Amino acid sequence: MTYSRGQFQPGEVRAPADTPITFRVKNLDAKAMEFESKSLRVEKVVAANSEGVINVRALKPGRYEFYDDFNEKARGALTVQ
Amino acid sequence: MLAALIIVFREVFEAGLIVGIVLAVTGSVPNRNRWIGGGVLAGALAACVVAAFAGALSQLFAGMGQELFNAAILGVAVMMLTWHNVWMAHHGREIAGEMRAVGQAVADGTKSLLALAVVVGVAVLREGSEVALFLYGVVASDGGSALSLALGGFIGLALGAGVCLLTYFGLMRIPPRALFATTTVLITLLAAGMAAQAVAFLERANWLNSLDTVVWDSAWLLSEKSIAGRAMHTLIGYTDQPTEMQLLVYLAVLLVTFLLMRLTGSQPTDRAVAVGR
Repeated sequence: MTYSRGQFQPGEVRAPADTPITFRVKNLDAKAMEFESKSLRVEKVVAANSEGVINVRALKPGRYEFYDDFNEKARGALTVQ
Repeated sequence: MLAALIIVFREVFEAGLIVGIVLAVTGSVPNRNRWIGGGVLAGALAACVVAAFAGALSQLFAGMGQELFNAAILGVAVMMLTWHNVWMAHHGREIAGEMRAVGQAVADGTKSLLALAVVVGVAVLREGSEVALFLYGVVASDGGSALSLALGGFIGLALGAGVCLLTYFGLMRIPPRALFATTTVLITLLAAGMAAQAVAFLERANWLNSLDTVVWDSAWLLSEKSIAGRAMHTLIGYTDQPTEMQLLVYLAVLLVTFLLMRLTGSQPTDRAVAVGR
């Protein structure tokens, strides 16, 4: 997944249920961003022009929203099935 | 500008609370301003260094450098706070009895101050590195609104300092005798909360995945993201979705601190001094 011009790309991602998930977020902007999600229980700062790895434990099926805590207009969601 | 103000204030808020508490704890110790000020300054400098190398730090340990770094410095803070409490149980009575001028007590007082200066430094470092990253991005990006964003950031910083002063003067209104008991409880809860937070970072890094089931979700009652939730998070370690391991570690720190304080506090003074040397 990439982050550029204040948007997640792609904004919607899918993953299987009951398996641990790893996000790799590449921040292409000149600003730092913070990948955050309440329902996924993660928050991680990704510095400008670098990549962040975020581990998420095995999840139940459902929709989990995430956003950039430094720019709340940037939103996305993970659908677990 | 308002967005920048809020983001920076949110980060500085926790550090402000901790510095305020530590200032109140050390209220009667000579030279404390130099130590605490040094802690804040060292923390701020370290925060800039961490922010500058955030990219590199992040890549360590298969992308988990940030999490492990946070867990490690929280661990240091927990040890320092616990050690301070145990030391106070040891010498608190002498200090309360206006005998703090005794040479040995002053020398020991410096040791405890050092521990608390480390705690302050760590708090500023953790919150400050995110602020530094955010503000750096704002200043570095060529948007025309950079100045107003930076201004908002600095107002947020000033408000955080205000939280610190409010905490300090609030605690100083408590009569001295009750203050000692109050701050002991505060510091113990602070340490337990930090330990639980360290567990959360280890869980995110996948270094700890036993007992990682969420016990409850009380976000509907008090969200961790609200200002009240943040205050409770810092003060007593409130988490709206704690895992079993977090609860366990939280209770363990409370228990260990209590036992250590009972153990060292009840020893006769002469023997305690001999052990101390």
